Amino acid sequence: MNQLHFPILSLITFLPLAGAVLIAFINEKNENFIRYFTFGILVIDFIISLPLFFAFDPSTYHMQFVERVPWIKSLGFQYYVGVDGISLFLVLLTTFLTPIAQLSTWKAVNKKVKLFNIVILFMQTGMLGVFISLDMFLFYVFWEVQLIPMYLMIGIWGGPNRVFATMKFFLYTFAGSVLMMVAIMALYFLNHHYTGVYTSDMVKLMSTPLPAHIQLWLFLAFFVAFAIKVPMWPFHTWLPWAHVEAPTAGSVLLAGILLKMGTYGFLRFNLPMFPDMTHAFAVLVIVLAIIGIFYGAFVAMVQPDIKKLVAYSSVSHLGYSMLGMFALTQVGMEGSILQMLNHGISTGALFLAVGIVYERRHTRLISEYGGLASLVPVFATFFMIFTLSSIAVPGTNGFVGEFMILLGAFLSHPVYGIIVAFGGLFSAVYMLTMYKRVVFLKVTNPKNLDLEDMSKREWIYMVPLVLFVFWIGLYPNTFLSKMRVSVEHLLKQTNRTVQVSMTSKQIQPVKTVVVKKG
Amino acid sequence: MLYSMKDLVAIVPELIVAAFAFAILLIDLWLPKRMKGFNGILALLGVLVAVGVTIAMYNFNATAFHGMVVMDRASNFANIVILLVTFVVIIMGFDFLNRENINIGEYYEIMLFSVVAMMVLASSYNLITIFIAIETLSIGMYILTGFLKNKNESVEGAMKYFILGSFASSFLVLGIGLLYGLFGSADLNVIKSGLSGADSLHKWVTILSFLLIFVGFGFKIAAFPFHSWTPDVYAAAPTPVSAFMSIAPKVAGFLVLMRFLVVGMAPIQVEWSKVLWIIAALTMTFGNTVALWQKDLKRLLGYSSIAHAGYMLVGITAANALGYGAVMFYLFGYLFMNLGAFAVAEFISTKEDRGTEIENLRGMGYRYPLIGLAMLMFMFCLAGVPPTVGFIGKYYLFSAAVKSHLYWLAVIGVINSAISAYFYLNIVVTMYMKGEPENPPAVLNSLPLKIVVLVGALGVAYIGVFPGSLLDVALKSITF
Repeated sequence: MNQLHFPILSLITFLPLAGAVLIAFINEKNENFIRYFTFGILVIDFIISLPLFFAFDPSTYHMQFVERVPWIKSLGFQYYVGVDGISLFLVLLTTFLTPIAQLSTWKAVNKKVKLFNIVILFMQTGMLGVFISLDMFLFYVFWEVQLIPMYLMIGIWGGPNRVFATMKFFLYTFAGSVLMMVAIMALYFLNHHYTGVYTSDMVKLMSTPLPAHIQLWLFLAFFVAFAIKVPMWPFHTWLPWAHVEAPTAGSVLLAGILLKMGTYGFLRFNLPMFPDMTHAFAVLVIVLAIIGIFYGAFVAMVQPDIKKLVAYSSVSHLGYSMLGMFALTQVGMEGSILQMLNHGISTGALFLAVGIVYERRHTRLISEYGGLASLVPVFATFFMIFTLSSIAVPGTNGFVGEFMILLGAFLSHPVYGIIVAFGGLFSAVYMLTMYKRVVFLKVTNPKNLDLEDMSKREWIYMVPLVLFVFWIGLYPNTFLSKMRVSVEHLLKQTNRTVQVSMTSKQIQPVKTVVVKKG
Repeated sequence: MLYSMKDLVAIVPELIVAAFAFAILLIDLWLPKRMKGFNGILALLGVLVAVGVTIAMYNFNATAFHGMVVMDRASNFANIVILLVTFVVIIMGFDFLNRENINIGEYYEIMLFSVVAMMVLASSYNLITIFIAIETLSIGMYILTGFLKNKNESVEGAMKYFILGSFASSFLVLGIGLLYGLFGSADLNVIKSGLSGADSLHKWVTILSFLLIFVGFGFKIAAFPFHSWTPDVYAAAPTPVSAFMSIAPKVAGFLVLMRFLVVGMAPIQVEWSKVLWIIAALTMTFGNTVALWQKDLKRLLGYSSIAHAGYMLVGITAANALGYGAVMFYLFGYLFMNLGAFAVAEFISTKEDRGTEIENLRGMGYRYPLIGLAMLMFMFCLAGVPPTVGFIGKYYLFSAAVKSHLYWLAVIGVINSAISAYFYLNIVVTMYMKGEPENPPAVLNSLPLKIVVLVGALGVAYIGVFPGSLLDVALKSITF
């Protein structure tokens, strides 16, 4: 179904690529022009992605804005794209966050500006491609393609240990994804074995799950690939390195969007295609997610570096997302998807805030700051909003997401729900301690006295983020109503064939719970 | 008498190349020293005509000389790849040969004669033809390796290659002899029909002779454990020759290996598939692991080409049509990525030393943005990252293995991909992330060479994004 009768998804996805090609012909000395040009393209891309939101039909779980062109005929691979209520917001998050990230680099990135902007545009294409692909071969191509720009971004514009960090990032993710490649091939042939058709069409594959005993290895291979990307404990070790060494824009996009590919992958592959294994492994995944929530929080508490602290808080926050997903309840799943968006907004914003002070002081050590509230009040206010949103204070976006996830967890696994409820406590501890040491207390370091408050450009990219913190925090129904039907359908697929039982508790079909909000 | 015009038609492309080789041999005598470049033009012309004729005869099917050689889509496909490699290598060589003072007629003659041998090898259907073709092309390769006769390494490399090569050939001829003794013929079809009704003794001796013959083939395609000459010879030979060697003989070698296994050895497919499983796994793992420690670009590419031979063996091990087609497709894609990478190696080489230290690439991405970008693409392509032909090729090879339920082989293959990413990306790191050197080393500033690099990069990307039609051609080329 394509209600716009126009290849809008392709336009959104490939416009940045076209922009990157155009920039290649601009003289690299015109740095400012390149910055404006790139920003312009990204903003246009955001604007043309808005019709997706308004024209989206929330009453159906079918894919919308679909485009389908045969690509590699002999194997039946297609250029098949479309969005449903699950991927819609990830596409919008991408088009929303990339211009913000780009705007934050205008002063921070001074060397090789042209290449940087080409890389950022190229990355935008790769990221969007992952979220719109409905053919698993196409999905895999985009999944890997976006490794290249991130690899270059960390490696060229990163900090002192950039080469190590970028190699670790690339090899870790690549190793996980090549296993997924074998799983994709196996899925293709096994599906033919059981259903008699060769197809790489993800929508079709989701509707015809394989027998339970076949699902095991496929589930595991996809699991490893996505768990590395999320990253789930214990596959997270690449993340702090990558975040700390990456330039601000790199961290924003990495946390905001690239990590979401992992969680999104679970929703698209593991849950609907291997429902039996999803049920069999649900408890294990939940336990890993909970370990991640606590582990991330504990490690964040002792970080002397603000950016590393935020990076570990990512591990914790995405643990929530995984928990909500594998609770396999309607409310938990919606919370999980909302948490993905929240994490993109809040953590992205926190990285931007870190970037703002780093640009002025060239240090990210908490101990170097203190008393910023009196020196740069505007910055302190913005920073507070995002800190609170990250802690999930009621009224902010974080609260809605985590609350729904906890609710979902209580419904299917009450004990785990109770354990996790304490996780929120710890996130308050590390975030508030950090905030106190950076913003309150007395000004101890004379170097901070000359700090300038936020510039106009910084206002421009911080304000929209604040807007969404409160929008989602106060009236999440705008977003939840669009994803509801798709999530229902996904749950129906996941609960469809429960042939493997581990304990009687896990195989109870989960009731659909709709919670009224707002 | 025994032969007719029909037989000759089946070897028209070979004849054309041979004719041009002889023409160069004669004309070279009258060319003054400063006009030796004309030989190159003539060679290019010959290759081009042969490519044209081969394409025109692409769907032509013929068996000639009593089944000694055939012309079918597979041989035509392979011949086109071989000729394209030759075409590119000749272009790559122009300025290099001038710099090294080896721009002489012999270079082109020997190259073209070995091309003829490769083409015959790709078309052969009889173990005798196979043996003769392998020997002929090897002699050409030995000489070309030692072409930098003022450099000890070059001569040493040639000698090494020659001794090991002769050793491998002796196994090959022993295997052929055994098969001939068993079945009274060296014709692949006769062997096949003899083998299908054979008792277990015959079968075991056949397996033995398959192993012996594989030593010879394995040497040509650089499969573990017959690979040891590869890095030394690649590093020692003149760079265009290394580039030539890394692809052209392999194309013929892989095709004839497939013919031999799929046609001649069909009844013992279970056995040879097992042997190849082990060889493929070892070849990939060995090549990639050792490449991790290389400091010289040409040696690195040498080990990398061992690894890639391993990937292609996966396609043969799968023993299904998809796998065979994937091998052909991969060879075609390998043409672009490997020639491109070797062209960059040639670009950074200097006259004084071997000069292909990876360290010479430092800051290349900024000093020569286009070449740097192209090299980046070749590296991602060799590592198998989309959207490049290297990824698509590997995808087909491994999915053929998965199709035949060789899951573990596919897993070993992709793990190898991940290992290889480390050293390929290290080159990208050197080019872009290590800062610029104070005294940038000299480069071989040759326009034809740059064109080769850029065309290679475009090819890598274009086939990577639109592999469909080429894949169809490759899949359909396998008719045996």
